[in-house]
Amino acid sequence: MMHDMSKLELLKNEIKRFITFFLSELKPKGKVITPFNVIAAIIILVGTVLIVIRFTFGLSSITNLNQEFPWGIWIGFDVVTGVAFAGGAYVITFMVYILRLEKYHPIVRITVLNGFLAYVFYAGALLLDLGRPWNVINPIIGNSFGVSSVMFLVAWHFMLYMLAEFIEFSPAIAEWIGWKRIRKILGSLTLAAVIFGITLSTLHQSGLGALFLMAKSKIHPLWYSEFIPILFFVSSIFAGLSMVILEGSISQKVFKHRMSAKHIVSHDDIVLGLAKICAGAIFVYLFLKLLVFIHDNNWRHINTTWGYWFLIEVGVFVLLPLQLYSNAVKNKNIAVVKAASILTLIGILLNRLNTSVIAFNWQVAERYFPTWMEITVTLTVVLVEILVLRWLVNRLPILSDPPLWAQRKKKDPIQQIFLVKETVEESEKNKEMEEWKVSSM
Amino acid sequence: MEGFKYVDIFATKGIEYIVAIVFLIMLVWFWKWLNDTSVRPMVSGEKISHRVSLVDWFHLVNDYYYHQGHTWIFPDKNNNVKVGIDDFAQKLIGEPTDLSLPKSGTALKQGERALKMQVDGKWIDFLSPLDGEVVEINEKVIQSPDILNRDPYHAGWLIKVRPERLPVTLNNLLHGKVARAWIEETVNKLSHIITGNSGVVLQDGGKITNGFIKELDGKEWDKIAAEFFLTNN
Repeated sequence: MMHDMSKLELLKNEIKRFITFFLSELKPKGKVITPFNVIAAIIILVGTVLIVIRFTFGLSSITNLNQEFPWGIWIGFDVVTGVAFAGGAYVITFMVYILRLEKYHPIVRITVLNGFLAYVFYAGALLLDLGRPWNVINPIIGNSFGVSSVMFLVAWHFMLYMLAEFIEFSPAIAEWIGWKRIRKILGSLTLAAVIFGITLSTLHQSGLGALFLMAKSKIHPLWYSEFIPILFFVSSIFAGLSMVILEGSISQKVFKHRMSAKHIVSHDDIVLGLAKICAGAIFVYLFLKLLVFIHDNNWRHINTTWGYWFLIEVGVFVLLPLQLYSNAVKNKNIAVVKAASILTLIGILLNRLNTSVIAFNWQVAERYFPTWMEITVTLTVVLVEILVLRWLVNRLPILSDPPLWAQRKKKDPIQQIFLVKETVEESEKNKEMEEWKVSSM
Repeated sequence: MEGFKYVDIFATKGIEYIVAIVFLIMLVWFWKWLNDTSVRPMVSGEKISHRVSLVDWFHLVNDYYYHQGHTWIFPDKNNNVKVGIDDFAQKLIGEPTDLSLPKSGTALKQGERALKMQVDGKWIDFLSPLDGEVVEINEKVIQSPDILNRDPYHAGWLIKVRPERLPVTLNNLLHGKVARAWIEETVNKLSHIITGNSGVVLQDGGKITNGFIKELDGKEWDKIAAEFFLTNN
């Protein structure tokens, strides 16, 4: 009985500690009034109002969607492109946890967090587009699973993948709050979550492509092929990695104060490694495109406006990035890698929008163009995601090293003999610092 | 299929096969080409952001033995060894204006102060990497200390020593992979100091010049240098 009492007491204290800690973390770090914040606040405010209007008066109140064009940029950009951009998480976790390429370890957390938030927000944006959003729960709870639909697969995959990414990321949360034991448990789940996550990713990246197999007659033949799932999957590899490169270069400017020394020193090396993989993946993709092109007999479409548009997509946004990435790797030029990553991302955006919006219903006289309100809502989703990411990166050990207690003690003889010259005084100070941060949880 | 001579189903299948074979061959070639990154020689003062990593900026010679105070030894004729300072040390402090080397006949003990250099009016100490007796001093370096910066591992040697207890001494020195790992750790330590002071030097593609430690910390730079050379107490 005594024992139980003390446990209860412990839990009570812990909750108290957590609440004080959390409230103290809520305070903004850094200046509140900055140009970015002000613009973001205005857009988000307008966007929120628009979302309320959309849910009150229906889709037609703020979008240009209709029976002919049921899917606009909320699907084409937020969901279809957003998921491709988030592909970096499964590629990087595969490289680090399965292939054991330790070089890329410093970027695992930020990539997984980015992937997780991208899924939460961009797949979340799917709700905006559903006529009856509450029905989204049906494939999960079994109120008519809809197993014959690709949507069933996409729905389950999204949900399970978000869960897997959250588990992969969760040790960082435990480290932040100081839950030593919980971190240990969560840490032991990582590998399982990674394997599960990779399986899901490869399947739903292609599954998103498979969605468009249903619209054969609506998509222009230059973009339609029965191999869309494979093309979507292969392109998600370099789309995701290009996003990782771009985010990394932005992080390096914005979050420099949070980055660990090791991360800073190894950054260029990591970026060049990723660029090489991108070059390889784009090379494969380009040939797949060519094969599909020949297989589908698409020569006859080339000398048309759609054909030129197709050539721009492939030439400027696939071939050129391939050339830039390869040269950058050969010359070790980081600036060119960054340029290549931006071009690649535009290319992916173009490809996904071509498939889902631009070359969709190409035979119909009427054209769809998003309203300013659709664009504002999309910007709102992106900005809120960035703000959440910034909030987390500024507090959790994502770019910075984990707290000392969570770092594996390496038995490196060199470090032991020569470099860990931590004085007794210092180690005492560190211990003290930890005392109040780490709880018994 | 009339009029579609080259693109009827058989012809196109044929093209597909050819493309697939060409692709596989080219993929092998492409990947080989991409991975063949013969390293260019490093030009002093080159923009760091364009280089793979900071570690590459500090050269180590493979066969040498290094003391953690950034001095090296290498066997010479007559069972003597040459002693010098490593590339990291020379890049850290830049060009010395004066050298003070132990005279011939002086007995050295591993880990004790042995070499002195004057940089910007401050004297920097280096530890002796081994036990032994000094037999020769490099007069050329004393006359023109910039040799040290141009060629720290060959022409820039400082003293020749007749070693004592060499096997024991070598046990305490770093060599090969271990030396490489050690210089990586040193760079980590350096980047800690840099980010603590003025990250500008590394992040914005700024140039690192010889003697850059002085730019990081105007007045106290000799103390930081001493930390690296293990002469801070």
